[in-house]
Amino acid sequence: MELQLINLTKSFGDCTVVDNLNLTIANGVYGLLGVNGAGKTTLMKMICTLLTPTGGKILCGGQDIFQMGGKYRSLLGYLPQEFGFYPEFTVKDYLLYIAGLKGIRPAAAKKKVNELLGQVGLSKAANKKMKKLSGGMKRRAGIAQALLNNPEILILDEPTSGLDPAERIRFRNLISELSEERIVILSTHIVSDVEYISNDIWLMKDGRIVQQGNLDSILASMPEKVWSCFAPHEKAAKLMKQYKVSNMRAENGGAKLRIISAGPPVENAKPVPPVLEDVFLFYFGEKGGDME
Amino acid sequence: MIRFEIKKIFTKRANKIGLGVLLAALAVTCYFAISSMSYVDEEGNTHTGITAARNLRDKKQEWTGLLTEDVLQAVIRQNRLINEACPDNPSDIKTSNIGYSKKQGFSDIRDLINSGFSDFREYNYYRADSVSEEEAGRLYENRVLNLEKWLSSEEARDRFSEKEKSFLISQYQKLETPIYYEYTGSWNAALEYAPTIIMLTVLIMSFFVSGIFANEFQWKADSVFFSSRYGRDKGTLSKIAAGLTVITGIYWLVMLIYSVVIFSVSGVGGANCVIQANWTFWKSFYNITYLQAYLLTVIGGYVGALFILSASMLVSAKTHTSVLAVAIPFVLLFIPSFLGGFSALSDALGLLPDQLLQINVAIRTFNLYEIGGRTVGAVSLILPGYFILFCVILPVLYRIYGKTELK
Repeated sequence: MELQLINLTKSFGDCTVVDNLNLTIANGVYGLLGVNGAGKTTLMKMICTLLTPTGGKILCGGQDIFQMGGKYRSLLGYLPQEFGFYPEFTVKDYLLYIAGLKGIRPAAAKKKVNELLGQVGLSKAANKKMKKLSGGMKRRAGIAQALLNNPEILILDEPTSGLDPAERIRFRNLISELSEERIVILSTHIVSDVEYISNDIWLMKDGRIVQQGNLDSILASMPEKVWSCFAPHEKAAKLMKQYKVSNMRAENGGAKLRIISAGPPVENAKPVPPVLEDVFLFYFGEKGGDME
Repeated sequence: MIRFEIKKIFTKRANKIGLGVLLAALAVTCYFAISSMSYVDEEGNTHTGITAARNLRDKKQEWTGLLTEDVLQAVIRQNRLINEACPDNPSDIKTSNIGYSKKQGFSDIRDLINSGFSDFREYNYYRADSVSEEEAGRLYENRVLNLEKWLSSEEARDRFSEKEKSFLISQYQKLETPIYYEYTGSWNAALEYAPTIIMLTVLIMSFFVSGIFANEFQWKADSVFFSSRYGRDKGTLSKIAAGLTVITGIYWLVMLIYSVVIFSVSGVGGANCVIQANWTFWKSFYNITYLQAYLLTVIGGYVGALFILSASMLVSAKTHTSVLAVAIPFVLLFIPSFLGGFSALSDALGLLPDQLLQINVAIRTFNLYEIGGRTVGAVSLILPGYFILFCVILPVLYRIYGKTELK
């Protein structure tokens, strides 16, 4: 399975949200990171045929996905950022309905629904109305619906928002299990999710992919270093204004800072290995404050 | 998938309430329809209800048969005798009512005489009292003469073309006389109240169908729906099918209950009488029976419901909101009432979809149109016309919803 994005562009009036993207996507997990308004959701909507591009095209196995229509969508599983549902449906009914929309025959759908309910830990809530589920349970139901047709292309927009830490770990493991023979594109603000499960990371800014590669190459791509230092309160405040500070922890008489800088920001600063959050901050600057 | 779409509709609390309201409206309409068949006993007391309707039927059935000159003369004779015995006196209602109780068996025929011997645009309730037995035979002839006289009057002279005038006269002449009379109280009651229940059903159903397409967006379930394999084709088709199933199912269920309740009270006698056998339709140029008029009314209502509610679904699919969609039936049904005062619009108003929901009124109205050199009544146009429009809306609806983009 291979997806190709060729000169892909999407504009709304004068505003270009996705700007001339060229990507080749083979099987694996792709983590899409970017601040709000970077164009992540628009890109995902185009890959899901929910939006038509203003320019360029998306090919699946060499064929235009908009011409493939239902045949392409049969390969697709999508969990949108704003996952809506039918409030009066039970979880089981909801999944059976979506299974119908995905063209799964009723007998096979029943089996698959039961299997997925177990996988996402919703077996006991199968007959509960969707509106009665907690936020995390709704998200899990959303993940289950995306997996119903055993999709070859799985698009997950903020899949772990609303999940508690244990649920997030469980979900990450599930995605890792599923990722072997399919394309998984994961958009999230939660940098650690991408760090743990993505084979390839895309950093998206203003509709463009500004950096792309595996975790090591992304970390290595940062031209500046990460420094750890202690500074008294007044000095810490000055450093905060002067540098990109990816972390600050108050300690006795001052603060321990994690600073991104080409050279040591203060005398006692020690170089530390970068993590993805540092890279995120480096590329997205102050807007990086949107990340969780 | 259709099952799930229907489930989406009826699991909504507002729609459950809507169903309850519809059932209540049906019960009230049936009550009024049955109550409209009132019976006056020999002591001049008025009764309504099931027994009263049956007593009235029994009384009127004695006059079943062809309304020949002899029968008309007998009516005039009896009417005169009763008037002599119980003179109509506004200050003595009791005596007047006792007199009416004796007349009520032939009151329908008396009404026809009133209509036939009054001027075309008038109805003189006491006209039969002054018609002589010798004149009685001119009833049917008068019907045509009155029309001809009216058509040449100032009021109607310029309203119709010569072709339309000839059409009306020829339709009047085509009525087979003498008319066969049978008690048609159930049919009249059913026809009179049918528009009420049909309109209420359509208005309430607009709440059911307006959400079928819009709710995906309101519930934010649209992304999953449209990114699924069949969302844009079979999924959309199943929504259309669910809408049509709900419209068809509820409409015919309501009409079935309505008809069964009313006809079970005083039977279906008179089904094959021409509608002109009752003064309400005496002037109608549609030479049809009561059964045909009732079928036209319910089928017209169904076609109207299909058109109006599919237009509502179309708006909901296009605007992604049910608010505007719900307003469509209200606009289509009530705007003509506001425009009714403009005589210049009368031809156009006769073709609006609200007419389909009240065909019993349309068949009493002289709305004529010339199509391809032929003169036809409004009913002959609106029934097939709106059915064709409904058929056109469906593929447009499918295309619009199937091509939805989510911004």
